[in-house]
Amino acid sequence: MTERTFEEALAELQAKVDALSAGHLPLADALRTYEEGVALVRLCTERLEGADLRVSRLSGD
Amino acid sequence: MGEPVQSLLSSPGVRDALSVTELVRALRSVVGGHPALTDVLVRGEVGNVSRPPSGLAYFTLKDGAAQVPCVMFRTAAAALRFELREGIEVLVSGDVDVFPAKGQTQLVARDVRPIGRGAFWLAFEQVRDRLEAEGLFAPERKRALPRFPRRIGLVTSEAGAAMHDVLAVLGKRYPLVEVLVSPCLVQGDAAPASIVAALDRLAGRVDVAILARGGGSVEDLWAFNDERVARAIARSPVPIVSAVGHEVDVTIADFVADVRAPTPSAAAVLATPDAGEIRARLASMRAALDGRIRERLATGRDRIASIAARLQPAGMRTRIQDARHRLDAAAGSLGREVRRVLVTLRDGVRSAAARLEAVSPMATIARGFAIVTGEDGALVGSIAAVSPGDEITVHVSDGALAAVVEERRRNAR
Repeated sequence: MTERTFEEALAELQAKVDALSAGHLPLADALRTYEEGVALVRLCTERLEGADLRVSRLSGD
Repeated sequence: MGEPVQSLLSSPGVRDALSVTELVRALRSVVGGHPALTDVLVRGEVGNVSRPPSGLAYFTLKDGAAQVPCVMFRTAAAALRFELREGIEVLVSGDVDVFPAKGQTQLVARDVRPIGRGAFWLAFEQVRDRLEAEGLFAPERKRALPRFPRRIGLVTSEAGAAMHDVLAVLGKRYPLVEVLVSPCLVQGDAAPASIVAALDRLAGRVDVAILARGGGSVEDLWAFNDERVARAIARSPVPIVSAVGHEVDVTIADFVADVRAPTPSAAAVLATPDAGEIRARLASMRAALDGRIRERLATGRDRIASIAARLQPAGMRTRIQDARHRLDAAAGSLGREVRRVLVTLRDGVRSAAARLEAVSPMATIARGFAIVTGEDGALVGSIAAVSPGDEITVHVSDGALAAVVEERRRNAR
């Protein structure tokens, strides 16, 4: 997966769910969309569970 | 009482007596304009405030042991930038005069300025009014917070509880976010400039910023009423969530900020989505994906089954072969003329069998049909898959034809 923000991944996932729900996809495209969607669910979940708050400090001037 | 009335009236004391008016006039002539009582500056506590519709203001100025009545005339009273309230410490400048109708000595106040807490309050009002007039608090200036911030700026004291509170909430609620702490002083004379610098330093580095300080006295929170801080918030390129003191404390910073949070912890909540909600959303999207693909596969299976039922190639082949065998057998036992007719019939049956073999795609091409692919090599199954001007490839039985789409015509339904 290319590096994308969590928000982008979530939006992309929603788009795949929507596309699949619309029901117009040819079977092969539907299968591909499904697989990509499942991969995105996994990606988002991993990011969420693996996250550790990163705190850095801006030094004064 | 023993003396006759006549003697009282004619006594020298009565003849020399002053009228009240004369006395008060004498008093006024001594008091009014006396250098020690003119343009005085008096410090005291305000009491008994009365502001009748005439526009004048009456109050008393007192300390532990004495008090003096004060009056402010209409113009001076209207110019007051703060509310005269009982109990506040003020510095009054004015002149002492005597009010003849009551025979009362009073301080005619030209200006009243609060000191101590009152002075803070006055400055607050002044800054607030000026910034409000400039439109800095206008609702249409408020910016929406990003739903999924990547980086949050935190402007606060590194020594304060506010920083700890914000980080604790962020870590629990949305650990995906990165926090950039921009430390500053949060109280004292140097605090405003320090807060301004800390806010300005965040520009371009974060999606949203939290300006936080824990609870404290009005004086402690004073830096957040500073006009410079207000303007730094207003010019921030990203939305600012203010969280200064406790819920009851309202500062100028709160008015200018895009969102005001009652506490630093609440600011952290307002600035981030909840990981728990995201988890639930991910689960529901996964369920939707599974459900839809299951439906889609079921539809596909049904269609294949119905096509197979219509073709029934195995059944047709058996019937054709049966017919051919029966014809062959019959041909052997019939005369020449009849046999010729039967051979023709048999050839017809053979070609029918050959047509059945043509169910495969390659055989379809051999029959003169073609397969069209687009520029990306994908099959073109609909006019929607190409646009006029697209290059397409037409695959026929012995090769391929390069072609260009001129026009798309939809079938009449």
